[in-house]
Amino acid sequence: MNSELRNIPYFGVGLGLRRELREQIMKRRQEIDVLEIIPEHYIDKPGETAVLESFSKSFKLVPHGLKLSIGTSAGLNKTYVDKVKGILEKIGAEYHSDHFALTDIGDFSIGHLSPLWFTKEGLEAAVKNINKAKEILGMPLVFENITSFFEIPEADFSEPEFIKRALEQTGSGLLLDLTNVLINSYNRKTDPFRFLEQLPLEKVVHIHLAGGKITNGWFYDTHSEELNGPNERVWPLLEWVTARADIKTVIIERDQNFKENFEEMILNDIRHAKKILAK
Amino acid sequence: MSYITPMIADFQTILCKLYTDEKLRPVFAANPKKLFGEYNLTAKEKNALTSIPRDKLDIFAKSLSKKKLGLVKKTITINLKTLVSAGSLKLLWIVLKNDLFGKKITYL
Repeated sequence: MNSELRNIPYFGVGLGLRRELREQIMKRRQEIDVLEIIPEHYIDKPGETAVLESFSKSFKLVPHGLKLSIGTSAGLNKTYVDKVKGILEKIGAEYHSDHFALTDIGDFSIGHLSPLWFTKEGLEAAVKNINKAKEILGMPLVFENITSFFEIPEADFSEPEFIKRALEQTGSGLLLDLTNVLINSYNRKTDPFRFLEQLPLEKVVHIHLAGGKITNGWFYDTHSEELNGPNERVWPLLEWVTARADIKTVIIERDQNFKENFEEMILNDIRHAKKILAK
Repeated sequence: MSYITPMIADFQTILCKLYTDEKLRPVFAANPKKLFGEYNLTAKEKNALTSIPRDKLDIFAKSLSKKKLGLVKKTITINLKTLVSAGSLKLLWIVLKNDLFGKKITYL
């Protein structure tokens, strides 16, 4: 880990701030170390920005973007990056995160995260885009491994090798989504620990955990379940990574299937993660 | 549009179309060369595109559609709640029109 990443403070364990969870989060704020916010939810929305400012008084906030699209051959959308910067400044962000993904090419939007092509050309595009984003945002960046049902064939690198090279060439950190590792290993019938072993764990800054669903034999990254049942296999992965990485932040992601019982839905998993990090 | 890596621009354009255009996928599967003719692709790129497993590509594309529909539903629900409570039917129509026919509908 370079000094820029090493200097990122410890944020602790928390969850993603979502509109549906605001009230429950405020009520149980003593148990939540940190909230992860999605800048796109606040861009060009003055009312929402005011909500964000009120949460920043009670919580440490870390940003997590969705549409940087570092794989794009068309170059970054500078207007978007400038707007993200505005949100990061409002919350006093220490670092920003996004994905190893393609979401937009120029004006064309896929609408969600799609896999990168792990080739030399793909790496060149990603490195150029990351460096440009870093120049505009002026802070350390960390990037997340995503789920995908397939890898684009004819690649020059494995996914871990591509991640390693992109992070090395840009001085960026890794947002390791352990649920994504679990889901990909389930769908591709591979060993999640084997995948983890190949990653540059010294660059891990931030961890994501979320509950997905198995439907018709496929594991979907739905962010809708607690970390039990098929999802409880993320806990040994977190233990394994905790023993090998200097984790700054752990976030539980929940985007649907919201429940009245906040303890059952989120807090139990936050407590479980805290126990593992404290070992 | 100017590209930072022009060599993969056409490849990415086709990929995006395959992810988002339900009608294009079977046409491409039946005759990829027809689509390739419209673009400047290397042999490696052509091979990569034709080697993506059809079933997995379809599952991914369907999951994208579901997510987009999910966002529209969620946005409409939130706007309905807000606007009904504000009592503005005219404003409600403007927002619905924007949600349903807007240029981009993106799942976040």
